[in-house]
Amino acid sequence: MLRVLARWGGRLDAALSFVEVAFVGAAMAFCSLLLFANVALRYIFLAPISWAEEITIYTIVWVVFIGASVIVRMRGHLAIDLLPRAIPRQSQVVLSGAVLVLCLLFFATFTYFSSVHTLRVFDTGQVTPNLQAPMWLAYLAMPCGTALMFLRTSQLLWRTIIDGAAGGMAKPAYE
Amino acid sequence: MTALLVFGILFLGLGLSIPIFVVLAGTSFLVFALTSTIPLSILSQRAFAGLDSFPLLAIPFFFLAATIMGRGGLSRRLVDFVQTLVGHLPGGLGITVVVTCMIFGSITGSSASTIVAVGAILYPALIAAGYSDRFAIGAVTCSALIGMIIPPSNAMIVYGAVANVSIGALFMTGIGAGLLFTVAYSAYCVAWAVGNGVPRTPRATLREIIAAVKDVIWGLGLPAIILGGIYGGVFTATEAAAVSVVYAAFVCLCVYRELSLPGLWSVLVEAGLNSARILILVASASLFSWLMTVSGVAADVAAPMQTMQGAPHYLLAFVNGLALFTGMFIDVFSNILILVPIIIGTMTAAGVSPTHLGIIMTVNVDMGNVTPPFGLNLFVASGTFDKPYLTVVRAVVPWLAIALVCLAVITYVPDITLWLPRQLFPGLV
Repeated sequence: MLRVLARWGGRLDAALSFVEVAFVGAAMAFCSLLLFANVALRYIFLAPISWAEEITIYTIVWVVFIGASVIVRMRGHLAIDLLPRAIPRQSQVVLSGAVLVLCLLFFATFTYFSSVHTLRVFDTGQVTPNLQAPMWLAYLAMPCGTALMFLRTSQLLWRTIIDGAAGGMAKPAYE
Repeated sequence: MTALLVFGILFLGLGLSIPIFVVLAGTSFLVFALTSTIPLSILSQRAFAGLDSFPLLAIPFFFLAATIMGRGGLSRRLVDFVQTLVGHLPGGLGITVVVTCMIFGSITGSSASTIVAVGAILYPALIAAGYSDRFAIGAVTCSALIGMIIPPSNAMIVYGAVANVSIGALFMTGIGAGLLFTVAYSAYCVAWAVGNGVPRTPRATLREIIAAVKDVIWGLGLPAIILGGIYGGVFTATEAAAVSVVYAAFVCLCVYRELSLPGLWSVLVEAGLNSARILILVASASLFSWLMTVSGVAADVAAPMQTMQGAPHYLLAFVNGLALFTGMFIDVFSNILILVPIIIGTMTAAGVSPTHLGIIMTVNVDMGNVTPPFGLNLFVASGTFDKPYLTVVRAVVPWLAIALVCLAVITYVPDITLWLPRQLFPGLV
């Protein structure tokens, strides 16, 4: 039972990671080309794209929250990892578990309150200044990103409990 | 009281090795939940607002351009070019490190990437040329600081967004400050090499110099586009960053031919993830900064500064000490985002120009990257050179002392940094 669960979990994890990473790379390429095209159009054809800035900002907001989830999985977020370096291996696992549980609490809280906020914006029908696009689409990046971070953190916690993996959220940097 | 609560939770969280962005945002949630009636969903709005800024967008694209150039073969060409120019001087290879880091910094806005790109090539070369391990590690780790002072600088972009100062003018202050660091560090290289009897190498022939220039000239087009474009008013800093991405991709794919399309894809992902790592911190640090203001903690912290209002010299010394101290524990961007809103009112009231404060803060937070216990570059260097953390810490001490002297000069002789922006942006500085 546990093994079946782990296999399906592994497949889901690989698929999700692929989608996240593909999104980050594609969005970076899209935004660079869009801003470049905007400069070119302004100088060559004297016709800038009015919504280029706006769409770049909100696309990068999505990159930030989706990318942050990828980084959670890589244990790559910036943290001060002096304590885990100073204590014995067995305590590191305990500390790792405690850190991950606190992070799970935070991500759950943030997912809840940013969803509330996104739903409120959805109800008011607020639109972006230039493109007149629904504003909730931009805010949606926060609940989606933090929910993904919650999922990634629980994966790390699972590994801490099952395999006794240390490291918490931060890679034991360059060991 | 609230101040105690805020700092208590903050330091506990940081000490436990919880990611900094979780600590900053989590502290804000906890403190607001305990001490105020503001609906907590507003907090997510504040975090979002921290990212909702066009100038900040320059960061991901400068990251991308620098990663493309670093991967696409620029670093080796740059090292060869600088080596032919200064390699024959006493301490020549040391100076090569310093100057290469300076030029590399005009392409990237961060110093960690400079350590990896320049250090991988020059660290073994330094050892082979007769420099000590300690000197080589210190030279690369600390020269990389110059990369963050020379424009484009990510720290300046964040400062400009927080303090509402022209990013173009800030970039220009970085040229004077960066050159000061370059001269001071090069002088130390000469002194060290002469004192320790490092053998000199022959001067490069004119033919070698011309070959090196031909090889590197495409890469040097990038700073020319960035600086020329911003100061010529052709585009904003963010657009300059996007243009430099397309230019860098063109040079590395078509001219140097050292980057393949799959390579470009992995660079896109890497730069996207690096930007996410930094910008998620920016989002939660702006939330935390809002907490400091709304809860009155910022006013409490700034209160002792008010008494120094009439003595800007002491005030500047105090700010330097404060920023260096906080820089020992937190990263560059959180440091700027948290400190600047607290201090900027008092500083401008005391007659310090916000542009001058910008370069002072940039140098301070940048030095925070190499001050123990938590200096990001120390960890990067420890990993890149495969040396214990404490060895790296010992190696940076003399370089850090020189940096302190430079910081004092930049703080108390504003003309060094402000002369250039005054010429180019009259009325703004």
